[in-house]
Amino acid sequence: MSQAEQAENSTVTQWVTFRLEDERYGINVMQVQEVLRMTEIAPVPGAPDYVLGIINLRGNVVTVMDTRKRFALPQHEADDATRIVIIEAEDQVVGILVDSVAEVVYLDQPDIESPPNVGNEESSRYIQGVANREDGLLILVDLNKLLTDEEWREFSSL
Amino acid sequence: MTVSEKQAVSKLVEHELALKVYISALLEDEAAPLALADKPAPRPAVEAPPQAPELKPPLPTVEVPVEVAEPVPAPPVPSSNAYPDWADQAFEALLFKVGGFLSMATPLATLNTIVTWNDKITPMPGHAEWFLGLLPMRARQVKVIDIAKFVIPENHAARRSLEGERHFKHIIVVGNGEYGLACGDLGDVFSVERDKVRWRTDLSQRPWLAGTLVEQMCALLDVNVFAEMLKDGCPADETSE
Repeated sequence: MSQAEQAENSTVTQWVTFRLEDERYGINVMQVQEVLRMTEIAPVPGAPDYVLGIINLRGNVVTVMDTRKRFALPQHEADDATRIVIIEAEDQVVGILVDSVAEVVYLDQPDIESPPNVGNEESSRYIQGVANREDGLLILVDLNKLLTDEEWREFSSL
Repeated sequence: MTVSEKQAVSKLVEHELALKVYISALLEDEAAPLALADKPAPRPAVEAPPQAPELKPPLPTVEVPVEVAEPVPAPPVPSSNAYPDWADQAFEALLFKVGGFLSMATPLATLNTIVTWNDKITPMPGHAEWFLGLLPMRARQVKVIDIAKFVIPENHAARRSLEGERHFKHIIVVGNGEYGLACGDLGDVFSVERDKVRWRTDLSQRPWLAGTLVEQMCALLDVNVFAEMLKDGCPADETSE
């Protein structure tokens, strides 16, 4: 069965994978609009620390989230592989900065394991699940939960 | 030795000392001191029910009507046992080191397997510092815990010795394989008589600490409770008392 045929099966979902630090993450392809090379990000004075700034996307202002900050990872200098993934979450178009974008993978529902939920940390609520792949563990991210409701409201008013 | 080397050594000694003080406090936080030969006071569930007084007045004969007293209800039997299930009799325990200095023990009965530390652990963002990540093993993901950081509060001086590069050597996989405890050197396996443990009676705080191995003077970890705590969601306060 081809990957396209597999995709027709309702239990198979497609995920865009990206890297941050040494880990691979997946986000639902249905929420990804496009992937941009690194461009100038204009800082927004007084913005919360998880906001890197704004970019001009064909005349539209898009706010870019500092994904490393959100994932409590050390800061990293942008390089040739750095990408801004434009996504749609909570009715907003948002950019998330990632170290690199890898590929689109197909995951069958049974291959997705539930998130670890160790310590019941509120800050890890955006981990939707994990999938064990040949090349390592893929951490699936629920983009809608990257920010709290209040943070999303704040984000939209920037 | 240069001044900076001396300072580094002095800092290390200071951290070691702080850690030892913390561990001593941890082990001795149960108020009553225990003589080594003493048997621990068993919890009520294992006590024999109160005996009826042996000397009872003889019952009156049938000729004299008497009021039969209502049967006295038996005292409620506490549901919790004095000792964890694995300590019903003498049990085997494994000693291991965490954080470089702290010795802990876990009963062999709750041990699943031990694997050598490896770099296949995938860290999970947004979790507590003591959660190191997931280790794929036998088609499941073992949740690996930095046990030293779990048991030593964040604001404690001893915690500083756990910062920076860590040298884990083994992962002790416990219970049904859901959790792994990252540790340093493994110690001996030895047999423990139940009365050689100072069992904790108040488990409202740090319920994962079953008691203290008196001869080894080390904390005895109740892995089952530990796993339950993590499953139920361990509030940050639980680890930072």
